[in-house]
Amino acid sequence: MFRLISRCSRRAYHSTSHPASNIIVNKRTPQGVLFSKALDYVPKYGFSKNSINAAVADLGYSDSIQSAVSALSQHSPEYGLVLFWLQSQRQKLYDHALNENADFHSIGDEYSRAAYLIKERLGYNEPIIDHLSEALSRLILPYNWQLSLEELHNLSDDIAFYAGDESNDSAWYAKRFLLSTIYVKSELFMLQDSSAGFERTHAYVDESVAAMKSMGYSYSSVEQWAMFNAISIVNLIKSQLTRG
Amino acid sequence: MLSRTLLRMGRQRPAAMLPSFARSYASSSNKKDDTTHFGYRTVNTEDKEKLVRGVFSLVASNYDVMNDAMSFGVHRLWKHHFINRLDAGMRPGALKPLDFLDVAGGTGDIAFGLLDHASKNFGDVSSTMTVADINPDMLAEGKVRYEASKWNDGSNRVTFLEQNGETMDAIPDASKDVYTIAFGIRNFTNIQAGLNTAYRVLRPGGVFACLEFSHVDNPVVDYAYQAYSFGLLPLMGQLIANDRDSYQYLVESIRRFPKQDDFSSMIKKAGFYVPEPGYENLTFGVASIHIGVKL
Repeated sequence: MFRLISRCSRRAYHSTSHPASNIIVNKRTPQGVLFSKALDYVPKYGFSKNSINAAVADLGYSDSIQSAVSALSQHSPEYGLVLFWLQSQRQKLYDHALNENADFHSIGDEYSRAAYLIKERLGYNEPIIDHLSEALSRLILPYNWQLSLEELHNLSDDIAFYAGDESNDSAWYAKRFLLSTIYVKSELFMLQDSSAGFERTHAYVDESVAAMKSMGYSYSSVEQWAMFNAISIVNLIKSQLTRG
Repeated sequence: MLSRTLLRMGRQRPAAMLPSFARSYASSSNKKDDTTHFGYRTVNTEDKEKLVRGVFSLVASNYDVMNDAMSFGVHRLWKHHFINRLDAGMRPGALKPLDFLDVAGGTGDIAFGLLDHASKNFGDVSSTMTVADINPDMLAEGKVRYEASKWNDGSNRVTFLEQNGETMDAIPDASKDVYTIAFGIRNFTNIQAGLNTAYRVLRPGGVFACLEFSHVDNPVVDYAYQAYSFGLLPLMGQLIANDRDSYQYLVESIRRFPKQDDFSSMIKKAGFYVPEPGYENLTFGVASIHIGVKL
């Protein structure tokens, strides 16, 4: 089954000058070390400076190391921490998708796979669910939009890719756009969800992905119908012209 | 700290001290081992320190005015931004206070700014500050300001030290947490030696932060900037401070300073880890902030 996924997920374009990198976050840089440790404190303190301060104390550094995080970034250290969290969760999803033993590989349908990945990713929110709204509010600040959207696009791109998307037309964009939308909607749904194990969120994701699938089907059908009629009209005109 | 640099324009004019050195546009700063650059001139290495000392020996209030006039007050914004970016200070509940070292910080504006930031944002009133400068006149000016400031509260957190930034004899290894230098490193005879010394005096986890004039990337802006700095600055120096040569030295030394990427490489060469993207340009790159972390 794993072979199937690796066959499905082969990228059509391959550059030899840029060897594929599966390192989304580098945990060896000072920022990486500090933020990785700070994530341990997020369930307790949230995405705040307190988490970073606790990490600094825990690692035995003096507070001067905080300048390494703040000095060259246009964004606040708190936002940096949120972004780092998102990236490390994306890395976790990547590792999960490549894990041969995951249930993921027994699913054949592209849309079901996408739904599975979204649910898996949403599951990573559980430990910090109390602080998720705080993270989202930082992500949508106007001066943070650009990076936040880029990260969201990277996530939906990863999901589409591991789900086995092979489209190479406008569907490529449409799928990613819709996956981003579904992810954000589901995350907001999750914030309000009090059901055990976030069952209702899971149902919501399944429903949304099914809607996306039927939308794709409807679009393809309409496209097919329109093409047929367009060609018919051209042929009709041609035949009328030939008759004189 | 355009102010800092400009404030030091000297009583002794460099040109007068250098009758035998013709201006040279040599591409290498060290054609022979014993020469270096002083602006666009090539001078003996041992002379440069004296020359810089000479240039920066007089402090006068009209240089503050000059400073604002020449940079349109932007140097104040740069300093403020630099201090905010560093965001240094002991956080509440931290294990130990920080030891700051401000090099070439004679008048103490960066030093007091850092202490101010730390106390306002983190309630840090125990970190120490060492202000080092090669020039005793500048240090004396800093002390006068210190005595009138709120930092002169009997806690002796601020000390002034006459030191050559390239050697720092009086500062032990691994004894500081934050090393700042604003508009000073350009005047070092051997910049790499200064960076190596910064690495030496910092503790692991310590941060090197440098604010310095740099190079404008955008060719159009650069054209205007060069026209302004070479055409107008020495003239303004002549008119306002009656000292053309020192201002000529100022613009030439800015032009001679390594480009952002080159300076970043020098910081790495000294042993520092440089976080991405390596530096931050201010005002199109007229000045830039460089950071290095000792791991």
